[in-house]
Amino acid sequence: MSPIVFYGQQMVNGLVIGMGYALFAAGVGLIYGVLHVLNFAHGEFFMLGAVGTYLIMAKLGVDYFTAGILTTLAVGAFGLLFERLLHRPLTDHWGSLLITFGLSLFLVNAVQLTFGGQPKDVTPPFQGVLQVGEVFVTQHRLVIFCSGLVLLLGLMLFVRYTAMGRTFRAVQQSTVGAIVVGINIPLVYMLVFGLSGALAALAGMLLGPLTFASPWVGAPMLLKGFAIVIIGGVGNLAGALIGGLVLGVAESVGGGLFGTTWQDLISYVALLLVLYWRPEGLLGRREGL
Amino acid sequence: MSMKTWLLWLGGVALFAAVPSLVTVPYFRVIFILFFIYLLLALSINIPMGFLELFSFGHAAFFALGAYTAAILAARLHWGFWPTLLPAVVISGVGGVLVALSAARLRGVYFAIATLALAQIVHIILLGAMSLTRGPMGLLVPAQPAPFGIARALSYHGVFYYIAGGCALLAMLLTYRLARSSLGQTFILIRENEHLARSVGVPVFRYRLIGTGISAAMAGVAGWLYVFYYGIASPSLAGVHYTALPLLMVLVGGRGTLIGPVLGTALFTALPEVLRPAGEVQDAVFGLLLIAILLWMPRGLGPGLARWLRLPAR
Repeated sequence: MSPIVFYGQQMVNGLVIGMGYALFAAGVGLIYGVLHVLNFAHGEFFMLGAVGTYLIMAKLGVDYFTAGILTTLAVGAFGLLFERLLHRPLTDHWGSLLITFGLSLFLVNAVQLTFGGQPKDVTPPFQGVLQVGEVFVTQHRLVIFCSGLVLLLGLMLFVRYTAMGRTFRAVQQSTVGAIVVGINIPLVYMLVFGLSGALAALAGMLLGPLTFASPWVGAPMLLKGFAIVIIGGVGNLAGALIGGLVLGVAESVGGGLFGTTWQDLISYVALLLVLYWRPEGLLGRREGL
Repeated sequence: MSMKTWLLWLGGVALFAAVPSLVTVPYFRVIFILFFIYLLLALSINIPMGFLELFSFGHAAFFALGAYTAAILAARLHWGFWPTLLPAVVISGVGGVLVALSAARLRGVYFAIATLALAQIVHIILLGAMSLTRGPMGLLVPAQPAPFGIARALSYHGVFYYIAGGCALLAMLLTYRLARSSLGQTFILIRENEHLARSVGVPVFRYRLIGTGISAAMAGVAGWLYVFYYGIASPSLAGVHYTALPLLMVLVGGRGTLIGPVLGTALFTALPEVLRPAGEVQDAVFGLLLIAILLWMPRGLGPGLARWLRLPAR
């Protein structure tokens, strides 16, 4: 295989996975930007997206899309409720981190019990393969990339041009200021948590067929999501997009060169390097959802 | 120390010494030894978490470092039980300092992420470096001659009980003395008001290094004990489970206190046994327990109980 084809193929695959990462990271960034909280269970929301899609497809016999949308809505609602019921009463500064950690423990185990530990194959309805030169792109991967892109762009437009989006940005910029102008902070918190959960589940639905659905897919995703958010800048959606794609490609190329055993190291080392040298992210200022 | 505290300590030590004669069922001996190892681990994470507000989400890395140092030396170079202690402590302690070097400048949340990432890196390396660690198959530690060169009257479990228990007691003593020492007071100052500490010239970063180093070394001792008692070192020692357990023990029990980790460790050592018939729900129960404690007793069980009994929690 010539180097061009090799790198080309890795890049293509990397871009696709990277788009999934970007969606996931957008959720992480939203929560951290607006609520200033790290959701340790975010990886599990992703996992629920993948597993839920599989389960609904299997048990209710609906198609991939319907199952996916239903799962996304369900996880979004769950996130919303979680925020309202379990997160809001917390007073301790560290409470959010720890309670989401507890949630993550619970979810992994609960899914393991109901779903079984065996990774399951989620079959998407797209089976075709495109070929550009000697590089192969499956239809499914194309769909992931395009829908992810559309969703993220839509999110960016939403945040920039709608009233609700402005409200989110306001809370992100200054909680106190937002209270002063009468924004309903608890409601915003609930909505953001729900939205971010939905994004994670969506990423899970899209990437599920690629990564298989098992209870433990959440944990590596979490760190990668953090890495992307920190590299791209907290609360910066464009940063999440670019960061996600970059990470995806780096992982794919690295995995192709050094083998998959060491693949995840790339994101972790990248995370550490950025944390150490530029916690505000490579794309600069914290501002701007 | 007040009379009450003195009596408590003496009573505790006496109880500790007497247990092997009272408890003859081997199953319980195993539980006790596990309890001591976990207590050591919990006390080790109690130092950064309780005294310094540094939430180490990757503490299992130090546990694994200590365990694997001992295991590699024992299995490949045929070192004995006691000689491996020093390297294990040094390597894990150095690991702690390295972690702190890169992460201690970071504000709380970022520190947690950094330690999590570092633990994952250690995990991956342990899995991948087949030539050194034999990867997922784990490293078998050759069985040590039973008395470890000490008393000949006790059984293997008996000797280990005293060694592990001794280490745990030392760790408890260390935590107790630390809280009352100038070092400990400085830690608490940094925790309570970092700006004030800096303004009076406290080298905050250096103290964080020291705290993390001590804590990592303690975790390394726990790893050393573990690997010789169970006879095998596997990469899972750096995994989520061995980070989550001490976190839970300290959080549920009460961080920064002495009673807290003890209670928490007792709870989380006993629970898996109680839940043994339904073993797969362990983590779910732990997660729910953590959520419940955070909502209703954020300071942990320890401080609550201590107030009730009118005892010093530290």
